[in-house]
Amino acid sequence: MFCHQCGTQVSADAQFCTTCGASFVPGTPGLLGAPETPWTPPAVIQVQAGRWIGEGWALVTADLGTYVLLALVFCVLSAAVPVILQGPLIAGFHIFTMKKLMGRRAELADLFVGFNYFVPTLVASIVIGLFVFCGTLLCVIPGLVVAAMYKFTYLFIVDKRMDFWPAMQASHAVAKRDYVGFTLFLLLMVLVDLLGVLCCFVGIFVAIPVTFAAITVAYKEIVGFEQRTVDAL
Amino acid sequence: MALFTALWYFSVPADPAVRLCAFHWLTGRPCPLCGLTRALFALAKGHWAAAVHFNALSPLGFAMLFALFWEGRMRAWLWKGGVGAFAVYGVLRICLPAYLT
Repeated sequence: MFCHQCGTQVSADAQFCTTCGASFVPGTPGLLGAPETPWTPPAVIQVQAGRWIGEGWALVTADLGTYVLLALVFCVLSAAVPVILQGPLIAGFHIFTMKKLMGRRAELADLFVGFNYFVPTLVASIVIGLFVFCGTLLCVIPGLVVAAMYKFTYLFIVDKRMDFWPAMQASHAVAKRDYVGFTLFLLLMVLVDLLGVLCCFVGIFVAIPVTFAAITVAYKEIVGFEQRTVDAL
Repeated sequence: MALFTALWYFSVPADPAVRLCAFHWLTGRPCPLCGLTRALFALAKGHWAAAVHFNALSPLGFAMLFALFWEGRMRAWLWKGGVGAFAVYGVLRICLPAYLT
């Protein structure tokens, strides 16, 4: 059947449109119109940076071709239109990995599903960039801590339908449980990216998906995916 | 323990040729956190005066850092007060002559 809102072809048993988020179930709010899910962080969070990156690596190597293509498109578009496209594309990267983790069929087009959350992801990327810049000005390390604090923002926007600021606060609430651990997680991801650059630069197209996948794996473990997101994807 | 041994054994230049601080690079004045790395190496060797010379709030900074490993109300109190103290110190470092900060 076709979506009554955007015309995208979807499977006959779909409950939501995967492109625009419209609901096909009478009386149910659509994916985008759905209210934000209230969320409280768990009392104890154990950072397992090495294992998360290992699982990210396993996910990427299991579908290397698509991930490399995804990273290539991500880099080209981010370079062509800096700032504006970065947030939605990061959200799209996470949606792709979320589908992989749910055992759904993920495809290149999922990178652009992040554009359904264009405004919150764009504003989040600008605000986070500004915060990280200010932190980096003060002898680098505060910038790293701030970047680590907001790593889950895009996942909260996509999964819990949060606006940019509640999503940033939720991500902060997670990192607050172990600032040192999450900063080390970020540093390990920076190391993975550096290794990618050292592999004749092309390694970056593997390293970038590994880091995004590791963040999604960490989010799944710490927060868990919302049931309606699982249904919608 | 390994970290402490490394800090005790090695030293960083007291006046580095290249500064990583973008704030210092832009304004020519030290940021509130400038000198903390050098102070950490000095503190590990027991050179408190040198540490305070590099950054006057370095002992407070390290108390805040180590407090990260302990949960509790004390940590929140220390961090709120510490961030405020560093903010005031940052303003003083910019406004006052170099020999006073």
